[in-house]
Amino acid sequence: MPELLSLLPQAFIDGLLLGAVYAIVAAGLTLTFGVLRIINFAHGDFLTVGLYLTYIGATSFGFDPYVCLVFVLPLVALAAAFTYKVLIAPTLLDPEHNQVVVTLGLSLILQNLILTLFTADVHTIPSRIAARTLRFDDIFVQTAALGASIVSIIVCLALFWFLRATELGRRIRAAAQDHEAALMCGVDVNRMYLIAFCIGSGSLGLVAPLIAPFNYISPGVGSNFTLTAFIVVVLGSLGNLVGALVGGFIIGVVEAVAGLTTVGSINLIVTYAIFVLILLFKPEGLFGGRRL
Amino acid sequence: MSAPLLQVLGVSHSFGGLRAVSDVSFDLYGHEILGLIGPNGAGKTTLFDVISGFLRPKEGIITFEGGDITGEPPHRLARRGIGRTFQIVSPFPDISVLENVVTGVVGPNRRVGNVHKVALAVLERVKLDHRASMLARHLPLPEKKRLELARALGSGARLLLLDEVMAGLTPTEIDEIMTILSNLRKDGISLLIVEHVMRAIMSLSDRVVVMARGKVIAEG
Amino acid sequence: MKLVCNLLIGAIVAGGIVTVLPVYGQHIFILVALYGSLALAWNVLGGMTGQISLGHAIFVGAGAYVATALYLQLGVNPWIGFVCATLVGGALGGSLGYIVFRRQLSGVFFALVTLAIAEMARHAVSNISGLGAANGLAIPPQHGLANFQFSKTGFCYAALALLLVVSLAVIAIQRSRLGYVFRSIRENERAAAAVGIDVIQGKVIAAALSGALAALTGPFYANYVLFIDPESMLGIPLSIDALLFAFVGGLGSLFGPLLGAAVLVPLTELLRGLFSSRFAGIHLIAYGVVLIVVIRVAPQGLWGLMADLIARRAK
Repeated sequence: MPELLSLLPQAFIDGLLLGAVYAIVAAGLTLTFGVLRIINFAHGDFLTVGLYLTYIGATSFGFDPYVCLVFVLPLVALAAAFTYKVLIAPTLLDPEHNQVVVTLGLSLILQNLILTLFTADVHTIPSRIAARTLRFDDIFVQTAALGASIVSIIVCLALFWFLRATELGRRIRAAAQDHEAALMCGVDVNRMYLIAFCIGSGSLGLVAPLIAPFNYISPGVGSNFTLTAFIVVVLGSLGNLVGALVGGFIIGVVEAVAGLTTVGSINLIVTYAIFVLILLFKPEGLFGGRRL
Repeated sequence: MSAPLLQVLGVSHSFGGLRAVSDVSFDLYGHEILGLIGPNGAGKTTLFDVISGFLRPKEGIITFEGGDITGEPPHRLARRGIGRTFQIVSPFPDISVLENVVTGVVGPNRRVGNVHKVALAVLERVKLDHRASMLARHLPLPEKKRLELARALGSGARLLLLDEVMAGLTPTEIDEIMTILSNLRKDGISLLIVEHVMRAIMSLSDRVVVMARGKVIAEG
Repeated sequence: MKLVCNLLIGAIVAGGIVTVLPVYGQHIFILVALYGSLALAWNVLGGMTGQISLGHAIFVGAGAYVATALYLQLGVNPWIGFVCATLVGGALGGSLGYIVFRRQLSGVFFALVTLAIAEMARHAVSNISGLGAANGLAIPPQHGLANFQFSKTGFCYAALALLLVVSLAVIAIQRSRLGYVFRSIRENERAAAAVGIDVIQGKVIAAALSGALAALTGPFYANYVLFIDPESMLGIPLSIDALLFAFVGGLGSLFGPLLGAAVLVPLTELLRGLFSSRFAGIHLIAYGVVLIVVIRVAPQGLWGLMADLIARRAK
């Protein structure tokens, strides 16, 4: 037991770093699902696409992963726009399950296309810019991970402010809450949805180069995030970006600490158990408000 | 005067800070058509939603056939004999007209003889029997409204709440529905009707309740 | 009545076909019957009641592991194992349904919770040595009716019998009051409540029935392949298969899911045979494309397309 206790601080920090990644992935999802009610099961796969674009930039052109941000972000945002126009927009008024199935199909296509093109080999792309590991007493922190965490917090808070305080953010929320009323106020509802979806899913184009230096890359890596992202979104209350941040940290820490006491992959069970418990006892999430 | 079929006593409901229905009271008797009129936003549909169990009133009591039904969920009210139609017409679109009514017949889960026979009889009452095998989504609007009516009748409703059932109909179609509705009253079914078509509601109704801004302002 | 007669005739014809199939063909036959049963079970909840499950593997896996564990550790007869499997599947389905539906959460949460539970089970079983962990459980080969282990041909008939049982169950549900309850929930929940239907109870029952029927395929697979492991019995691919075959075949029709399995299972085996492991993902890309195409272009699925074609020819 004492040995476990001594490992606890490192696990806690690891959990926070992991949680920051969950948070920023969930931030985009809470915008597209929480606010717009668009169900996108391929959310995590946009991250995979971004990671492989970064991989191409790093291996074929010798760019540092962070430099790849310059082209990865716009490309992923473009992919999001294309996805919205072709797959999402036509199903907005359909029964819910159409979006589930259509985005599920997209996820299958993206994952397996990448598998076919790049094989299942796992890659990592270390960065030359952030290559050090900081040490605080007995705790080790990779600078790349720390950088990603800081950016994650900034992005979540920035998106929170964007939705609350800017004109565009208000229009997006209006469009999402009541189409007809928004139309009458001169809001271009379709355009608002497109912009919001591109921000929400395109944000993964920002996340990818950030996490490439310390997160492994494989065809299924993004989709592993999808279910967890949904859980974080529900935990933090739909549409709440501060909730996504807090929820992400909670899940990250819980997973990391649970990983200390259990063997194998059992710690993931804890995340799913939390999900079931939330649905049972507090489906509106930690920050309450919006009906599910 | 016999006991009222439906009693609404001091019912209030609000959405957040907005008082939609405020201390509304009235009685409805058997074999009676009661009209509910008032401007848009007067709280009529909210009151309907409360009476039919889709909303739980913040204050007040509702009784039906002498029993307290306040706060009971819609499906239980339907089993007691309260049926309704919706402002946005809501048939079951991807099943046939006959199956729509059969759903109404079997919904309340009580013993009914030959289900299909009962359903067809109901369709005859609303003059939709010739459409029995058509998919509900292909019906024109007035027939969709009659289908909703038929479905509620099939469930054995003794009190029907009709929410703007004449909206969007031509004068001829309105006359057709008026005939059907007064025939229903002759058959012993009571109706609570929300309507904007004045001539219809005035000639059909035995009595009228007027609402504005959530309150009853006149009755008679 | 006519439908049941057609079904029995179809079963007899299929039984006849079994005798002339080569061994590999018989294997495909069994898979089609198994996946078809699973897709039919999925559709009770999916197509009939309109609630999409993304984790139906949980029922298959629960059935497989319960029956196999009982057999290996307590010597419980596989036939009783089937009964236990279906009871567990039903209880699981009902519980999951209750958790989500009593709060009137939207359908996507049911999809998410089924996915989460299936993944939870997969990780849990992978780490429980008593259940074979990631290495799985092997069933010792022991031919005999009592052990539910037969020759290939025998399994064909057994699979046909399973398919028949599930099909009859689905027909019975469709014809009963439950069928009307389920369909009205799919069509319009408010209107359903207004005619006396307890929507929450209906959804929970649908989930329970769907789980109970799906769970029957688990023990069958276990006794046929003589090996189960978390990947094959609780993995996401299995859940996607259930959904895929039902969608492609046609959600709104009773036997569309069976048609979907009958078309896609042989096709998948064919594609898998053609491509090396590098291109292992190609049939999944095809699945993804097919799903999107069906939703956008032909939501009534293959069965619906067939019905349209026949109706047009009749004119």
